[in-house]
Amino acid sequence: LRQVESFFFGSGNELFGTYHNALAHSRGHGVLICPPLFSEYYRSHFAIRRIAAELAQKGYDVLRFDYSGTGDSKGAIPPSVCSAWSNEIGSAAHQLRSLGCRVLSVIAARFSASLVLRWRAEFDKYVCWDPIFDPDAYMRQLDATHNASLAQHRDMPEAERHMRFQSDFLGTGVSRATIAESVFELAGETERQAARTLPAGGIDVKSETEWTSPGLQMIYAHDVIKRVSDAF
Amino acid sequence: MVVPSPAAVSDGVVVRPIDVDARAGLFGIMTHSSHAARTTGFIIINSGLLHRVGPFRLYVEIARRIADRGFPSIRLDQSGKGDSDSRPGVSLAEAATADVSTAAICLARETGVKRFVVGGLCSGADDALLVGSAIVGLSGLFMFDGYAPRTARYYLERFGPKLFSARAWQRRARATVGNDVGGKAINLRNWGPRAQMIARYRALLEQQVRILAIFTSQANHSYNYVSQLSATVGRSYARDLLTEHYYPEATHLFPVTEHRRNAVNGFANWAERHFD
Repeated sequence: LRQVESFFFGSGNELFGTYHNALAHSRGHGVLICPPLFSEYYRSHFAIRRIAAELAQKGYDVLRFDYSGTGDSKGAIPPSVCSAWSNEIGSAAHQLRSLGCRVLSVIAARFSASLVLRWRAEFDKYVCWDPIFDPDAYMRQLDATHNASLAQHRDMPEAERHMRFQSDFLGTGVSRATIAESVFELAGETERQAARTLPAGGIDVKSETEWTSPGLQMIYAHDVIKRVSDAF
Repeated sequence: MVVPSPAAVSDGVVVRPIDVDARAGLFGIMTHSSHAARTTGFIIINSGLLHRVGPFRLYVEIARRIADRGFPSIRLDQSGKGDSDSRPGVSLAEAATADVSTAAICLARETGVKRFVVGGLCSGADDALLVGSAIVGLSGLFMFDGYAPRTARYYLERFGPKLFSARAWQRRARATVGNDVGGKAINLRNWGPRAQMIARYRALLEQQVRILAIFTSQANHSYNYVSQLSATVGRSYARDLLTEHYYPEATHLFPVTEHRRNAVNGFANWAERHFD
């Protein structure tokens, strides 16, 4: 593989990944980066690329990837969204290990910190980047993003707008109820697990990142990029 | 060892990452049919600072739909965006020209296409209009919410109904006291003077370049009826070369799946009707 190589992997080659080979002497330590979801995915692409590049400079092999139905990965968002995406973290970890990494760590941003929970035994370091501990606040934020994206439908009464687009939450083709169910199911568990995991090698990076902005503005927060990569 | 695959294949559509120019660090995703071979290829360029997938994966859906109809494409990360490196010491216009020209060469090399259609949404539309004439083999341009000069009818369509609408006056009053945040147009576009922009359209149409101009409700501070662009560019230039699709129910970034699907279908039909 070249210095930076993009490819497809997973049982049906459905997942798009970009692998950053360690530039310095390889430590044999792989770092998997699990992106945030929905509008946060678009906004953090630049930051995640920079984090991957900085870790490669430090001698880590890094894999960043897109969940199925997002980014450059195949298909639509799966109906059983959380279990499918959580399984894909397992596939990505397997892929990273098979590329020669003896030790694995993970950087999980936002809701990915919840999705990665069941795999935490796989990872040496478990870096949560602004994990979701408060599912109500997170859903309120997603609702604000959803509503802002539809705000131009001004000739449609708000109630009708609300009804009409419930089955297409945040343009995903998936209902709000499906997403909310997963968020509430996993987010409470995130806090309990994090309380156990963080003292044992886990690192919680709290950033000043404006995740609450409802638009698709890019995150260029260099201090966050530095703090996440400094966790290694 | 689990060997990753350089491409994903699904329903006869092949998707593969490609180094458009390895030395310049220019990256894109090529999408093409596994069986059909057209002679026209599409280059889809970034919308603002978003990477090559486009807002709400609009570009992914376009690339897959037109590949299904035999057209190859590159979803390009222009230099300094997505996974492409920046071009230091080069102006944005020069970089955009170099990026799109290089993507055309790459697409021709990889798929054998001889003609190109270039475009994108928002700044992608602006860049396409800016660099289009410099692309050898350009036969089409597509623009989502690109530039449209206003006309007398535009003002009539926009303000006429509101003059007699109590609701519109109430909304105006609310906006005046600062409680209404909807419908404000934020213009970050670096459009040139009206005459210069119209001249760009005319120059391309004179070269027999087909143009698809797609507008949404959020172009409503510059566009609000079908054929507005043809009227300002001039019917003698537009002839059958300029096509306008207007989606007043959709918003700028196409966050609604149904709206996105309609626009992508309209786009694919235009491609199939006009290009080999």
